[in-house]
Amino acid sequence: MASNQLSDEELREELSTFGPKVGPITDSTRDIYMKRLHNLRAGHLNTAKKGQVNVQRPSRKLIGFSSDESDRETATGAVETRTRSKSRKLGKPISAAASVPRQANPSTSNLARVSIGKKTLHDVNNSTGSGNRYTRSRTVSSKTNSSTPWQNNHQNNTPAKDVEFDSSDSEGEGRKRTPERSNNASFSVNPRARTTTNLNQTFTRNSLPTNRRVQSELTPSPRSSTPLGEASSSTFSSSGHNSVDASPNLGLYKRRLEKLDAELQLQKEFKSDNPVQRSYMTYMSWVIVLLTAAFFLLLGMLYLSGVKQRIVLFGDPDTQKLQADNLLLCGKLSTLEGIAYENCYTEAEAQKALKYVDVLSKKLSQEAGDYRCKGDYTGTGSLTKETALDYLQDALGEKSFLETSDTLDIAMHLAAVNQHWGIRLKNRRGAPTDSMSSVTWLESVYPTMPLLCRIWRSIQLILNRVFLLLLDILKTHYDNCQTNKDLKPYLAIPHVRDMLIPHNQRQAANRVWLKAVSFLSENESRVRVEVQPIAGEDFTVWRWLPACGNSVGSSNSKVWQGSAFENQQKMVNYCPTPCLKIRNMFDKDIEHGSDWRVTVQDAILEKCADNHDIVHIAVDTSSVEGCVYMKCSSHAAAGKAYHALHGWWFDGKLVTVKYLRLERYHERFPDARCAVTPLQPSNDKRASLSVPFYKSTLEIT
Amino acid sequence: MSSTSQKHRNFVAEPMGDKLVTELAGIGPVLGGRLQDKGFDKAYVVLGQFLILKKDKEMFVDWLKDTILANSKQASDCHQCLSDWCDSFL
Repeated sequence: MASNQLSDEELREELSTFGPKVGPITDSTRDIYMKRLHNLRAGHLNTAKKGQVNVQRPSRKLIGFSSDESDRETATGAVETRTRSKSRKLGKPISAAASVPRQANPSTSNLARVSIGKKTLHDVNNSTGSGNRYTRSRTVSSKTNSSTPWQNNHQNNTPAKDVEFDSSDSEGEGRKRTPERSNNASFSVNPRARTTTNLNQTFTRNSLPTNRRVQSELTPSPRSSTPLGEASSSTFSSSGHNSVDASPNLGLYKRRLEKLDAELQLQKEFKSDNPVQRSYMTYMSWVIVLLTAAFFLLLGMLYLSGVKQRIVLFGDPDTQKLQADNLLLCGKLSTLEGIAYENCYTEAEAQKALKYVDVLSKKLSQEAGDYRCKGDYTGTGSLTKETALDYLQDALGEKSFLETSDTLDIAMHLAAVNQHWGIRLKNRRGAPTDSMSSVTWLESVYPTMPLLCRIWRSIQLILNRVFLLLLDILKTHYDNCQTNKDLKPYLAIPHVRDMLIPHNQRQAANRVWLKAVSFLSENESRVRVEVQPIAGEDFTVWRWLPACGNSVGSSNSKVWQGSAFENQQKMVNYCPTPCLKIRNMFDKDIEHGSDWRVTVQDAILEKCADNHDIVHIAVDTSSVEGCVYMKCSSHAAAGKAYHALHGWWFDGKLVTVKYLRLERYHERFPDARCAVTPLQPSNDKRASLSVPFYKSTLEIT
Repeated sequence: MSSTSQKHRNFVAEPMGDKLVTELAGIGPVLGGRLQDKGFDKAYVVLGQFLILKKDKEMFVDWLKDTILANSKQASDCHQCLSDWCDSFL
């Protein structure tokens, strides 16, 4: 179809201006491409609505026309539909005819304008769906603008059918272009348009009932409410001919639109509510947290204040306290406690004394607290009588020393009687006393310790307990080790922790545990930190060092304790040299005693007892690795010695052996060159082999 | 993780030959009927359309939606199926 071809090329041109690749435009793809062009023009507005529009499509599609009958919402109104339908009906001839007038028609400019307006309309409509055409008022003005020239144009057209046809065709052509790119929403127009046969009058078309339904009047006034059937012949300009097919479809659209709008509204409301709700929720959570914190604070304050109150209470000279405080008033002799007093004091004196007591108690509490809490406090936590006197004089501004002294005596007497005041009188040696004359110290029982101080002291208490436990554990383990030589005499730190702290407490006690570990490694000299392989993995372990290594049991520490390698006898090594360097036989830092070198030598010799070819042994006392150098008379002997020594545990250390070059050995130990006599252990005790060991781990079980 | 259906896997496993459109992933009996009404009676015809649209997902999906009123999932499944088939056999 020629019209389609032209539209194809135009479509292609239009599409290519937007950049994306344009595939072949065939019958089946034209619609898609036109739609795409529309979208590209409209800026991809609301592609979701397209789906709605697409619903209308089926009826249109069934017609099978590829040319887009989409929304002719241009101001042309019915004329458009007519022209469109006409063009469709006529097909090629129309296009041919249209092409000519298009070029010649001076109204092409108008057409262009109209088409632009239409395009915008189309875009608007296509983007928002046919239902939205009612609501879009943006393009109304453009429509009106466009419509007027169209109107003029239209009116200029002769009512002749052909001319109209042509012009309308041309205009329709132009319009067809744009509608092609817009939705194919007007397919359903076809049947109705076809029914409209009278093409004579454009205006009257509007009045046609069928067209009326088809056309949707886009009045400048809010289009949303314009019903379908309002065909205003006069308001051509405003009639935005929306190619709404059927009233039910339109109604559907409207309803869908309304639903969408409602949803949008709801969403908006929801969003506006959400922040409020969200802030409300967070606010609530914060309020709860604050309340609990305040509650606990209140509890703490109550506790503290309660403690303070107790002290204050005692100094409070209320009349009710007088019941509890024995002021030794003359007026109340022996009625309170049935005791005869030596002195009795007047009330005034008693009051004054009470004041003294109050002040004193506070000061003494302070002193006691400082003594316990402050690290660098040099005092003893108690006040001497003289210092108390001076303090009272300063605090209360008393002028007369004698008076204060007397009153202080009274106060002390009262304090001695009233034990619940918490002031203890002590004599020179620090023991409590009752007699006034020997009072030298005053101490308060209620030290005012700040809260932090109390917490710190409790932590220290816990830690001390833990340390004691640790030491106990280590000791028991070492004892076990003594009896059972298969156990390595050290204990992995994690194992100790597991033994000490039951599983459920481990997390909570972790901090305390770490402190204990650090304390041990720094302070405890009887425990040594090492890295030893246990079952192949390296662990930091604690080794309990026996305090007295010089006891008889010293020799039992230097024993052969087993082999690390299995099937050693099977290994037949090539022995390159007759000289061996044996490492890790001893630890020069902790070796004690005068003959440990000999012990080591004996150990080696005893271990290689069946090897009678050892001619030279040298214990390198200055080596960090605990090296012992050995020379054998033959290579085979060296090999035997190698097997007997390499990979064996000695004194808890894994002994390693390696070969040395003979020349180097002779350089180091010149006297070995001429050593030929086989060496024997210095004694027959075979001390290093005294403890039975296992040749391999398999034998342990 | 591959979220393809059994139908998809069946279609992509071998050349489509003369398979019907209903064997495309996302195309069931109803949609297949609509396609056949439109003249797309075999899967290769739909393949043709797919290739004409230059294997563009958006275009093809739109076309399917417009033509047979497929929904987004069906259309995208069909596109994915054809795309995978083309990767293997084209």
